[in-house]
Amino acid sequence: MPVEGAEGLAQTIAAWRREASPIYQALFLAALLALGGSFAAGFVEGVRLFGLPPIQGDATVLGRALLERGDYATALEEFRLAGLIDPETYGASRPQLSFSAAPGSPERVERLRQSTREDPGSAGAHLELGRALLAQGDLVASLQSLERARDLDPRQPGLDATLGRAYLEAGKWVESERALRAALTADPHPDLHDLLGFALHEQGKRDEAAQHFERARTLRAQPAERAP
Amino acid sequence: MSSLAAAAPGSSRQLLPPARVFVSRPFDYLTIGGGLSLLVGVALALSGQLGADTPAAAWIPFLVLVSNSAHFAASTVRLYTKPGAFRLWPFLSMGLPLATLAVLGVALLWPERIGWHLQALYLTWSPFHYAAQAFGLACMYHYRSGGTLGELDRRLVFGTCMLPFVFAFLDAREAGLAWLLPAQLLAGQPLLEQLVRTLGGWVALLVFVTPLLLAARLYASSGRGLPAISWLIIVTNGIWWIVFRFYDAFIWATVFHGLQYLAIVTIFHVKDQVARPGNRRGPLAHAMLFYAASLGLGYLLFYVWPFAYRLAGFGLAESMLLCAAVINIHHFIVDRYIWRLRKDTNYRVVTEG
Repeated sequence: MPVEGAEGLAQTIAAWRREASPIYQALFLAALLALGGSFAAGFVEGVRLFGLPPIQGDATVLGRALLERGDYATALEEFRLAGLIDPETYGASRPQLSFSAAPGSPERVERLRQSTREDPGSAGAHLELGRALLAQGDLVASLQSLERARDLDPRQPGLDATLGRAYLEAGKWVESERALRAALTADPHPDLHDLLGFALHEQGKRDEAAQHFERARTLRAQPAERAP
Repeated sequence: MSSLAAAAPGSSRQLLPPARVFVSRPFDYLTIGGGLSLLVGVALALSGQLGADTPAAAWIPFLVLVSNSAHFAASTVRLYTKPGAFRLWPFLSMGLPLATLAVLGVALLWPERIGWHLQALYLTWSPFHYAAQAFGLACMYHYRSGGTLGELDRRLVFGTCMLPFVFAFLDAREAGLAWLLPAQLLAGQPLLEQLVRTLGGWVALLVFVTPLLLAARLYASSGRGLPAISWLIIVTNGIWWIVFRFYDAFIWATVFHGLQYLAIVTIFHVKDQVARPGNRRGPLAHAMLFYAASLGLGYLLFYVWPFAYRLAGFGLAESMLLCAAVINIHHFIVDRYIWRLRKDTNYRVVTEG
């Protein structure tokens, strides 16, 4: 009895129609139709947005694309939901990726805590601990460490950028804006412009936010013009 | 291994009895056993490439597609190509797809209230699924190699395999205990937080110590331990969940977990198909067709499907995340059924040559 090819498929379907209850048949056909239709529609939408549904990217892929196109409000909503649903995995995928700290494993955080205990006057140790805690998502403790680092030595490289991001994550838009503006005076990095854009956008300063998003996009498009 | 097997000359007592493999020793040990993941992990670690944001990580999206995404789809392909599946599991095969779509719809409608719970459920279930796969494969090789397990020993093997899950349950930041316990409760109780962390550390240690104790127990009680490949599977899962996670490199484990699954599911599929009356294709053709179907379905599910919801007005971010969550959960449920050995053709595949 041949079971392969079209004939085999026809036999399988005939057996299924004989054996399966009508309710299950209806449920299955409804699911098949919904899935088949979704795949077709999804493919068309993926082609429209990206040329082809991309394999390289994560849940923030559209947010990034929308930023590139200047649709900041939709991009922000994409990032907000990605971060809300899966903050652990996707929180670090936001545009501020280059300012993410090294993985903040509990062991690493504990080592850094030990360093700050051994040398409580070290601004660098507090900054590193703040970064690691930020990567872990412990915003309250991260901000405590970063603010302590600022009190000890406000001129540390990278401190304002990290503080700006931490304030942003904590929803402290004004403080974030202040820190990020300070950070940008030292390093006109496109990610910092994006972060400042978010901080401004959240305060309703849409036009200025758009200017910073545009600035970030321009800087990314001209990497050779940036200082190394 | 042979020297260990010969530790008790003249008797049948064997601490590490030789494994009866499915394809060949190198293939089984490297793919199903997880040996390849350890070799690649060591090579990446030595070259400083183990972790995020490294040149090697640029390969990950491609590897995730061909291995991990394909493996999720493979359980569905296996379900619908397994002889008699519609009759055996009518709800699983015909009702679950629509139920899955309904759950996804609800989660997308209320992403902030329900969506993240679905995400947390899948992240909590995932380490259990990995551990259950390690347990199933370890037992499979043991039975295939002529071994048996009493009820107590079976439970001890299960408990040993579950330790990485317990560790992940305690250690996860957005799932497991952190999902079930209100965040405020832990935040306000530093002692409790410290207790959970300490407990996690002890469980991590147990992940690697318990197999040694279990091996001694099995040898003492029955004179026959698990074959080396079973131990490799169990320990490798522990390394994935503890060592790879420590280096922020768990994504590599998902690739090798997918490879492990694809290898074993393809073997079972091929053996079932070749044994069907009227079969005209060779094993390689069946394997290639099965993989092609899994890869294609994996691409559609993970990379195309979310765009349909984007078209329907949902954000792509929650569509991608929640599609991935329901695909994972569907996979976990389907796996509970399609790998049963008792009264199933799977048993023939495990025991036959």
